[in-house]
Amino acid sequence: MGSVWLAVIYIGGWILSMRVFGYFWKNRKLAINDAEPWFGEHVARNQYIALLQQTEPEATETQLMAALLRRAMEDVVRVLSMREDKQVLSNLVKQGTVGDDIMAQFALSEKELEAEIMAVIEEANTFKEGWGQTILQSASEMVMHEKTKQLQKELATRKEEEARKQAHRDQRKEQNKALKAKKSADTKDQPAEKVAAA
Amino acid sequence: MSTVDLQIYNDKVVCGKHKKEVCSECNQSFIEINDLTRHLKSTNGQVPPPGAVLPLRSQQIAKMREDGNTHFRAQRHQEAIAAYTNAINIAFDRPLWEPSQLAREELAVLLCNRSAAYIARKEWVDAYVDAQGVIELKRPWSKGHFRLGKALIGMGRIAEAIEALNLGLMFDPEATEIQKALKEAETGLEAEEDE
Repeated sequence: MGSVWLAVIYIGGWILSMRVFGYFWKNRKLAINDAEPWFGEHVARNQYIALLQQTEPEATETQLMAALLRRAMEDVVRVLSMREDKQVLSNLVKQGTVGDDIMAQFALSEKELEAEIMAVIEEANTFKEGWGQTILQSASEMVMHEKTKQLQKELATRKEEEARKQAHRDQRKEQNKALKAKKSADTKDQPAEKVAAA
Repeated sequence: MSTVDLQIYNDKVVCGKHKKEVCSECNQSFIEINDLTRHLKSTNGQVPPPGAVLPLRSQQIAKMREDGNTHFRAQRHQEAIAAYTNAINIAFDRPLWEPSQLAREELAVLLCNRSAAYIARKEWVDAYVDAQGVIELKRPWSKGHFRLGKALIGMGRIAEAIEALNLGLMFDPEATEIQKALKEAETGLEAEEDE
């Protein structure tokens, strides 16, 4: 009689612990899905969608094209960034420094990005048949070109910086010269003083 | 997914609350869309095909560069700088979809020429920054390092000048102007040490 009870308790205990484990495991899975997305807000996409919804006045075709191109550019930047991250991440996971749940999060974000790019291609085709094929290529070129344009802003700030630094350098040079001139003037006077003191 | 509060005002996209193109309060910037829209007008609303370049702009830039070169050869360095600056501003305003490699080549030459004009006027800081730009756009070009070296000599940074000139020599061992500049730098260094 007693051993039957023991068996029941044993099995019941197992079932209970399985259910408890399952409960916590499900909660962890949900936590990953609610976790932070890989990138922050997709501003360019939000701007495009907001522009589409404008009614008074409506956005012009050109404005929408521009907004779609910016959206595609942001997607290109994200794809490149994720490619780098993938390398780094797989190395870290191999080393064991980070857990597998980050990989799961990453894979999810990859799928999201794929869907986003598909959406962009579809939108592009609504403007002109076939634009979907080339829009990403154009966007890649534009991303590189934008980097070149950053140089323009840099030039002005650097000129100010360097002018300040050069002014300091020139100032110090003058001070050193004055110091040296003073020193050599002093040493010239010394022998005469020694004779006078003697 | 949050919605963006924008409106269209005077044909420009601006923020909904303050009607600004770049609004720090709304933390929004629509200037990229507006600039791109402006550039798209030149294609008559057509989708820009990859690699398309508007010949008019290239011609304008080339003409300004030639003007600058003419001024430079005639020792009118101030006018040369003005012409080069014009060309540079237009070159920086190319539409984003034009090939970036083209823009980089163009800008490298323009900045290099402007740097030479600044060096002729002994405006070392401007020459220095322009030369830095050339190197960032086209590192294996020995001329960029040459200009950087000359500017550094002018600023009294002789050790850095020698480094820059040697780097230029590495890319083009035959460059006689760099070799001359190196000698100039080395005599400058000795003069400093004698002081």
